[in-house]
Amino acid sequence: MKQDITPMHIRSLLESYYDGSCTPAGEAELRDYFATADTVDPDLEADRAIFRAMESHKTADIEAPADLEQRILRATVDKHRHNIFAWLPAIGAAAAVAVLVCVGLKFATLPQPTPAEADSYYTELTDPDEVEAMTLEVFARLDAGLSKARSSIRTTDDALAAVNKTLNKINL
Amino acid sequence: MKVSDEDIFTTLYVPQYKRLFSVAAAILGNRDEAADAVQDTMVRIWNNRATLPSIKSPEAYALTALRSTAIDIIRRRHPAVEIESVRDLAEHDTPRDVDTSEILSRIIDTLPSAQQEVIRLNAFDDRSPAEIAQLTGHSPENVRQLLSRGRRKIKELYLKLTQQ
Repeated sequence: MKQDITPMHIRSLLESYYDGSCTPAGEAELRDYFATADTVDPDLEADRAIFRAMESHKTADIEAPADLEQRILRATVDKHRHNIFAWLPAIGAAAAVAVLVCVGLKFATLPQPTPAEADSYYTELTDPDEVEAMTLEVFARLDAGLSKARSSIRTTDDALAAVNKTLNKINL
Repeated sequence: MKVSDEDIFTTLYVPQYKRLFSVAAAILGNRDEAADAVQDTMVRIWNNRATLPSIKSPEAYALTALRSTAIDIIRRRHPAVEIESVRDLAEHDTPRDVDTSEILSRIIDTLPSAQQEVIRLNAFDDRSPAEIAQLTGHSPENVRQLLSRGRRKIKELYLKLTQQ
């Protein structure tokens, strides 16, 4: 049975309210009473003012700022990804330098003819056909060696270009 | 396929920002501070994302983190607000000139942080004592006492200021 809203009933509810033991339904009843009562007993004036002031501070309907979600993502996930991408130019530069070093090492370790090997190339030929055949073989070997050198130079140029590109990005 | 920490954060925690903002606004009574509190809370959660896969209740975890952040803001904002500062409000302006809600807000700011939090959650965010106990980790009896002391203090100070 619904309790009649009498001053005595309101005071009883207020007592439990200030004791911290008022039920949610009882608090709702107090809020409704003080929100609508035009006049109250003088000793309830302060309570009415406090309840009405509390209502004006309600935040249940306050909406979050429209950009709050973006602010959160910028401060967390996006910032983390940006930090990862910031390392890529340095990694690229290190990789390009590594390629350059490997190419240089390859160059340095190409087999070189030793004096003994060089001497073994000396053969005295008298037969014109043998001379022609040996000459053609020498030219063929020279041509093959030059092709290898040209290929190595192209690889080195490509590596140098990659390093310069990456270093320019870092400088930016 | 294993879910990454980033996926857990963006699907289970980021979407809670609206609810967290509502609670923060109730505790802090200030919209801008509430937004900052939510952002700071999300950054803290993100920095500890390695632990997220083991969290059983993302909602409770986020609310607890938010509460901690909000309490820190309250303590930094009003490390030692005295009633004198509120009395100044009444001395320089008559209570009739000053909005009652402004007086109430200042009075609440003078309360200890634990009372402030409980009073604000109950009065401004419509949380029941049971919900407040669950949210804050206080026992129901402790919530009752905090509400009782806070409400009595508010009325006492209000009467002092308005009956000069």
